[in-house]
Amino acid sequence: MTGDVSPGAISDEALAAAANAGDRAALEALLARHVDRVHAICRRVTGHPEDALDATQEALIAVTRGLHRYDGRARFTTWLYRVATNAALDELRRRKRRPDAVELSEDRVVAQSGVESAVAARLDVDAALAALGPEFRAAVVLRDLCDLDYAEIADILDVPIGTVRSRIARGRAAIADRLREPAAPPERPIG
Amino acid sequence: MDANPPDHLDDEALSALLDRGDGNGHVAACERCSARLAELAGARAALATAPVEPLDELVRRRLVATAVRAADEVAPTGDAGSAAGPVRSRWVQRHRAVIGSAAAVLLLVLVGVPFVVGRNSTTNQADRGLSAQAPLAAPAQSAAGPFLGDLGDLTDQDRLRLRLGGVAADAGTGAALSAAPAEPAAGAARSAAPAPAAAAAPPSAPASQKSVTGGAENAPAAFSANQPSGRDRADTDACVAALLDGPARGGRLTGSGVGTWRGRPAVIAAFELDGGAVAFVADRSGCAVLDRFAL
Repeated sequence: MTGDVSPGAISDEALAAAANAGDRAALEALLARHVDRVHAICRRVTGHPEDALDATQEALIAVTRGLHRYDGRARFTTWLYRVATNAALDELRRRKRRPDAVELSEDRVVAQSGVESAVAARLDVDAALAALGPEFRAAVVLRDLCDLDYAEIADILDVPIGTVRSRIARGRAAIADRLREPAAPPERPIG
Repeated sequence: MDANPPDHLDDEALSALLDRGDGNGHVAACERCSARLAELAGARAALATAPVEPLDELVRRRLVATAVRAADEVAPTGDAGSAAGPVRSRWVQRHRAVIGSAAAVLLLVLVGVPFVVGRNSTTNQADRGLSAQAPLAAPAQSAAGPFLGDLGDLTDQDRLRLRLGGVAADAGTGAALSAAPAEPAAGAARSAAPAPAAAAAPPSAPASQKSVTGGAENAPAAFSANQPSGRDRADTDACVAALLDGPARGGRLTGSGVGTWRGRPAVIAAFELDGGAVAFVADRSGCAVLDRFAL
């Protein structure tokens, strides 16, 4: 980087290229820009606050160590979400811990406003997600939180697009069912 | 009302319909399907809008700082798509054997390289000079291609093919390297030793083109007239290094320069790759690839 442009005005891809070229400030700016989103992905996929923090740290380290493999052809965020998702799934495998809906009630107390927030407030999303297997959760999170398309999700999860479609549908159905009956106990995880 | 019960859509079809965002005749007329579609839409909205507890600012900073520090640690050996260990000790424990092997190889290189370089000192002198100028640790061959200075409009692919293609051919025979006309650090005036490619170049660049080097707006695009600044060269070297570490990995640099691409300061670098000669145009401030074309 030539250093005459503020980090906020630089694209992710440009920051990544500068970071690859050894610019530590660019790397820090890139990570700071995305740490919240990485954490949100890890939080939703792992379903556990501490696991999410560990997975977030792993993901950020994986980004710094694997950034030289990012070739700029795809969006940086797509590559980043892949790393974050893998970190979260790896964390789950490592801990061999099934998401525990009992630990996930903190989201309920977060104040919100508006119609969408009212919907969200009725639903403990993590509890609903806890009823899903990790791969189902990852598919739904990548679609509805990260707004990736089916092809991108298929690439990240290394499964056919039809499988992605199926997993997203089953994930949404489980959440919808829980939304309809929020007091129901978590079901046995799907998948 | 269920107008046509046998045609009810299942969750997968409704979910896909939701993502496509288009209408469906059956769903519009079917109370059951439209109700289920609304439920799935609610689930989607809930997931998209439900908050995740925010990171504490100190935790946030620590996460980033730890990751940035990791960049200075041991080089990676794992898959980019797979997360590395969260703490150094875990990674070191897992890869102790690899680290030992890497250290042995590094030692071998440190001991062996001076002998190899010593035998080829004459032919490699220009290369080493270039490498020493580069702000980054680019491979020696990245500095082997001639730097052509300000090439003006980097969207003019036909003209650039003549410039870079000609240089590539010469570089392939070693002529460009031995003449080294484009390297300002060598002290040779560009006009005194024009590159062979200059003969093939058009007589002038478009009148509207702007130079990023600040003093060449009125200069013709002819090779001998373009006087690059040290910053031109430094930016080019940085992007060449980034390209060699990315889309041009494994390639051989055959020529480079600066210019503008759709009004943006940019760098162009040509490489010989397995599939043929390719030129990459990269954003000068960040090295993001803006364009690429075959030479």
